[in-house]
Amino acid sequence: MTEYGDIGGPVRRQLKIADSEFAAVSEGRIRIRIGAAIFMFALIVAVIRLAEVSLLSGSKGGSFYKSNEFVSRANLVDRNGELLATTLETYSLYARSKYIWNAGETSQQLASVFPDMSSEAILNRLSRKGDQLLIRRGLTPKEKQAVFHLGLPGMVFQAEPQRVYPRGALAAHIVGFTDVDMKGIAGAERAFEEDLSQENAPAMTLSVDLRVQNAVADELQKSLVHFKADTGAAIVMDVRSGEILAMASLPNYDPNRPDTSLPQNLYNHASMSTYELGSVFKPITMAMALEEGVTNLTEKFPVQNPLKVRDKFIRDDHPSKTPMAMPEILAESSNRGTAMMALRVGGVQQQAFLKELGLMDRVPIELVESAAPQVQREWQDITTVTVSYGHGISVTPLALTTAIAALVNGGEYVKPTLRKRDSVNPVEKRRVITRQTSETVQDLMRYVATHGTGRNARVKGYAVMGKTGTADKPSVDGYDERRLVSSFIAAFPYDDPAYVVFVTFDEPKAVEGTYGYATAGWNAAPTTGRIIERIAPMLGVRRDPGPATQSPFSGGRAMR
Amino acid sequence: MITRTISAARTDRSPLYEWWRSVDHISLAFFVCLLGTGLILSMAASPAAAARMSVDNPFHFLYRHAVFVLMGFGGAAVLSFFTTVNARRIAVLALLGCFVLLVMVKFAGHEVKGAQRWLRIGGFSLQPSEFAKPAFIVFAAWMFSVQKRDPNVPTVPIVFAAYLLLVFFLIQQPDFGQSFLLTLCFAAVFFFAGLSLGWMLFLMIGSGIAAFIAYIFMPHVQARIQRFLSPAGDDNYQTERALEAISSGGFFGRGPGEGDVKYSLPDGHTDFIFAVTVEEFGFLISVFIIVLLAGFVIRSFRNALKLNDYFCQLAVAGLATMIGMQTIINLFVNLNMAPPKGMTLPFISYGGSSMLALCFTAGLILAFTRRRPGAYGFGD
Repeated sequence: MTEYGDIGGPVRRQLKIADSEFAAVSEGRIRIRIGAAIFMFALIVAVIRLAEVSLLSGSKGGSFYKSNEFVSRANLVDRNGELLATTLETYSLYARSKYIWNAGETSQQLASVFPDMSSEAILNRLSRKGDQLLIRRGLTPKEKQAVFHLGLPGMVFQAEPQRVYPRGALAAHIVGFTDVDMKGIAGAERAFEEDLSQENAPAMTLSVDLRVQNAVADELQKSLVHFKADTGAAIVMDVRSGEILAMASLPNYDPNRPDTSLPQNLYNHASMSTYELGSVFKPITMAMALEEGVTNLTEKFPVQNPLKVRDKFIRDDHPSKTPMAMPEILAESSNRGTAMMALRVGGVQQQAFLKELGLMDRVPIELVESAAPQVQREWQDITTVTVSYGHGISVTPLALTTAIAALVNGGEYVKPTLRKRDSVNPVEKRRVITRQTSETVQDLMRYVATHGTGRNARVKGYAVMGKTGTADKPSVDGYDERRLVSSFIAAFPYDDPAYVVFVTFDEPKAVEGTYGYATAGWNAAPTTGRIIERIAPMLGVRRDPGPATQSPFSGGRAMR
Repeated sequence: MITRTISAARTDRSPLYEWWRSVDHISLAFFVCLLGTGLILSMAASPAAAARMSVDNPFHFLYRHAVFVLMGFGGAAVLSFFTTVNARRIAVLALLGCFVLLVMVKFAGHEVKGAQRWLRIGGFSLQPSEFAKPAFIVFAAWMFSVQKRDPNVPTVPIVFAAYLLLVFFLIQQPDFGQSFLLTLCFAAVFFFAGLSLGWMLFLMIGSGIAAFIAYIFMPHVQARIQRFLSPAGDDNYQTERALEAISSGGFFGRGPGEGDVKYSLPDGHTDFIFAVTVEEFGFLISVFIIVLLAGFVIRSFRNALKLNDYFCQLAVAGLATMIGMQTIINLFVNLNMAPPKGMTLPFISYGGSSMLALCFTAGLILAFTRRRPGAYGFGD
């Protein structure tokens, strides 16, 4: 049999040619060892790489089907706990084409759950090519359950968390919005991204009061339409805590659908737009003059004479024929009088004072949307003059509001905030003027509202202080007198200032009832008055039966 | 004389017992474990593959895999019963058969994904090039051993002619990956056979030029390499998914059946089964699979070291090199360290021809490494 041959064969052969083969076999052994070593080396490289990819590449896992992991994001609420932003679990409905055995019936049944979709539209979606066909996005849990109850085969749901803003456009610029990955990209959503995106983070309480916000937004909207202004902004701030109670910018947008809005509507004019705000700067100049001791309340300035600085005549809108003291200068908004005070103080002191009030820097609020002011590089005497009445310096409405708050709250600059003040977010303040100067500024601003350009801001039952500001908009060559930015800064109540309100309109028009004027006294001031009338009761400000015309410089001063 | 007595003493034993006594148990154990592991992994990858290809039975690929595993194991077992000489004859016959089939592929082949590599036989596509590799390795080993015994036989030209003919057919298909692997295996056998430095340089320069020509003249090769070199491109889809699968696996994996990427990985049950495995079973089990494969290869190398017969030594080392090389290339592709090549993970991946050819290889290794009197220990 071959069996013997087969087994014996090699042996015989080997014995015969043992010598020649021995050399080959032993050299082959060395080479095989080299081969095995190379193999092992390559294999170890592969294992190291495997360890690197699978163990060290971090939590890349599951990135392909993101929706399997539910992204959590904390709610945003107002200071009273009203919901501003929340995360809802929504679902996308897909159909697995190969399990759909009757597309017509499926589409008809689905249409009964979604009244806004016709069965033809659904049928169209079902007749597309592909394995998973998208039927609809953003199903609520109820709609999902309804589809479940239909008992249709081949329905697949994919969980998709969605950020929802139940208040819509109200407070849109404060709240902001997120991108599709639920990352905050505007407003508080962006400012507090870190706190909100932490796992199981508690709801974040903002400083805003929705009731106040609603009143402010409503009045601002009405006035914007009435005065045909391009844009408008309004701010209500608590002067003691720096909390922003309301901040509105118009036109606004729905944060639930920011993509459907015009890009310019996303812009927060209250904190991002810088304007030459004009005469609302005058209380600042006067506080500075009083603080520096260069004048007093009774000194009369020769405002009837022309004032020329560097070949430029300083004009007054309401020219006076007689010299005026500080209260009249503010009430009649005299540029010359204000300029004379500023010139006495000097540019260096003036810059330092503006810096103290935060007008030379971006407002240190949490919002990313906070613009730095535009300040002239070279500060000449003409700069001192124009800045004294709010020209030649562009600041945001928020910056001006914060500065005026410091003047009327007893003299302390309070850092503004969008978060409700608590032990984690305490009030940060520093003194900028004396209490006495602050009280004088209150008197001056009260006088504007009772006897000056701010009379239209008066509110029955509440003693309002204020100052108008109407500025020509800068254009290519000089200022354009027909295009105005009109503003009104107010504080109330007079006996114990608690809140500042700022309203500004960009390019309001003269309308019926304003006697051809588009100045602040005719639009921003009455708007502010209506706002205060609505918000003062909400804020618990005591109603005073007859203070509307009481004034510190007409006998009222004694009652303080 | 001694041989005769021992054999005579065992004549009353059954051939099965004889086989069991002589076959290398460790190799056999590795082989069986690998096939079993492949089946288990197929349970994870098959339903996803079936879903992707809209096959109704989710276990369609698992059943086919099981059939191939049984066929392959049976074939390997039968092959390992043969004596060295007969196993060699079978391998050489297989090589001749492959040549015939490759010619048939050229004229009556079945095209899949732009390459004409398959022959349809019933419900099964046969890829002759898979069988050509082990057969050629055995043939080359035989030729080199003949040369050692009788230098007058022009063995080197014969081997080169066979090699060039094979590469010619492969490139015609076109199948750059298999030509590359075949070249590497040929070089390995040549190296084990005591290839001189001159020949080595010649082979290296030759294959370098060939690779360059392939890159210049073959658009799909060019595209693949460029895709690999620019990972930022969108076309690197499979590799990216594979990396994602591997990185999401972590130490213990996402759990059996919990993998996601397999649903979006077209070759998740074949070339990229390793990535699918890591995602579901994690780093530990994947290392275990690598250890199994390495174990089989290293065991074969070890046996080759100890074998006295020059032909057996060369053939076993060559075949082991082929399996090892294929393992490494597949791992490198899965880990994005090499461009995608269409190389299966030996014994694990689904794929009829590849599975059968690898079982054929394993069968040959088992046959050549069987313990026979005088087969081991010479010169040690």
